[in-house]
Amino acid sequence: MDNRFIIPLIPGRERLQRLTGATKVRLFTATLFVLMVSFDLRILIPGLVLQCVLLASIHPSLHKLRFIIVFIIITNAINILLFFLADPLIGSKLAGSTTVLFSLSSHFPFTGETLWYFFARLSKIASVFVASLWFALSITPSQLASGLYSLKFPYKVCTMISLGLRYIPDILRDYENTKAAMQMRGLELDPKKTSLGARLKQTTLILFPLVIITFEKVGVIANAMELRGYGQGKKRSYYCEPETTRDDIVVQILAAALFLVFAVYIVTGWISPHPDLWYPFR
Amino acid sequence: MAVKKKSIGTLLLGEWNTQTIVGVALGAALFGVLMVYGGIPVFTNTKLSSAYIVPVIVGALFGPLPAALAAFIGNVFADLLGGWGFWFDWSIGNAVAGFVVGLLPLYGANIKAGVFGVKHAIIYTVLAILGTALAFGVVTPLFTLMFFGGELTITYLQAQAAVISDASVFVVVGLPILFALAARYKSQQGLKMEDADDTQGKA
Repeated sequence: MDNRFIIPLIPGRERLQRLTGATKVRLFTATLFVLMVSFDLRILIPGLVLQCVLLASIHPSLHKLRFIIVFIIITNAINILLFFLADPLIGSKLAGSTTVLFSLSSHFPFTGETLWYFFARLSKIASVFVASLWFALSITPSQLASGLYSLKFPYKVCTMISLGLRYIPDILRDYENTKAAMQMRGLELDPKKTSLGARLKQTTLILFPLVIITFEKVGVIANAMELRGYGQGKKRSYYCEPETTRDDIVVQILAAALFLVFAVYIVTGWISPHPDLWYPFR
Repeated sequence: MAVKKKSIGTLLLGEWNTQTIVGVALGAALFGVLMVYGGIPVFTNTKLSSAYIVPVIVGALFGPLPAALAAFIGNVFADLLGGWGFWFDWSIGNAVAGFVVGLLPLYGANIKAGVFGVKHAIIYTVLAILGTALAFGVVTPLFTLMFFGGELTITYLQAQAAVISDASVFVVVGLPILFALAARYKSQQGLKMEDADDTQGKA
């Protein structure tokens, strides 16, 4: 269960991982902006390639990621199937033209536009997924906090995020312990053997101690932080930040370029609206 | 226990002291863990997410904005933990739901002082249903349209399911926990009152 938690606590050795938190957060944010903005394959395909290159550059262990990748593929395959059943002409509506390639029955024609739309949708989801994967694998909680701080987030929000990430393994452990303790006392957790009402009651029985344990820690941690002078100053600096290197500058320029693509796309969209779906073969 | 009168603004934003920050952080972590591992199986493939209990408690202890933040950050953590990619449209929906559910201190419920009665329970139930409907029926589809464009049928289907399941978690699991927490804090306070001369009072 714990080995699915992929965010590292120690910075890695690869070039991408050695960048400063600020650089990584900027690159990731710019990437998300560009990928979220359109269904245009002229943007999505280079985006997907770039994300794959970035992921490959940190040599992830495929063994660890296999489960997640299979899970993503299955969910999205089901999703696409549902989309097709809900509205087989969705692509044509977005692109504004209809090219029937072949049809199973009069209700389910396969149009070129719909296939194109599904292809665009898959590349979009795949590239956002690959981006979140390299980001999660290359950033530590403190670097994430310092990166967000460099984007002018209030440092108290940054602390929330890094502290929360730090405590996920602890809470996972508490959760397992509570569950085991409740099972020791004879709580039946197998969904096949109990009714829905009983299951709700059991969940409350597990949740209550877990909530108490978690929120009792709050006072202790807050006191420890206050004793070390947390929250006194208006600004905060981060120990984890390494020196800015040439790599950082190159990547930050790349991030700025990505953001420029996003801005240009939005502005040209104001001047002459983009079609909802770019389709070349009409 | 002299309860100081706080302005609406403070009640909405919460007090941004270290306690609140740590509370939101741990709440978000708990939200992430429960979202991924703490589903209540209803049928074979449908689950009620027990994570939605977290904004209720954070809201009760710290106020609506901390509850919204805990839900938002918690959802991002869950996306990270589950590894299914980031879905900010849903995170924003969760933040809105968390905010509405976390309005507890505004209508006089004070869990830390043990004040949570039938009147509060009724207001809470109504707000929980309205809040989820607003969050997942309006806000999330709006952002889905903005981020991903095009098709909304699937999102609406998911949203309906989310409204029904999350509102029922808020009510069916949330209410007993709120009552239990209030009772627990009340009993603690009774103990403190007797020898409270030199121990500091809870803010």
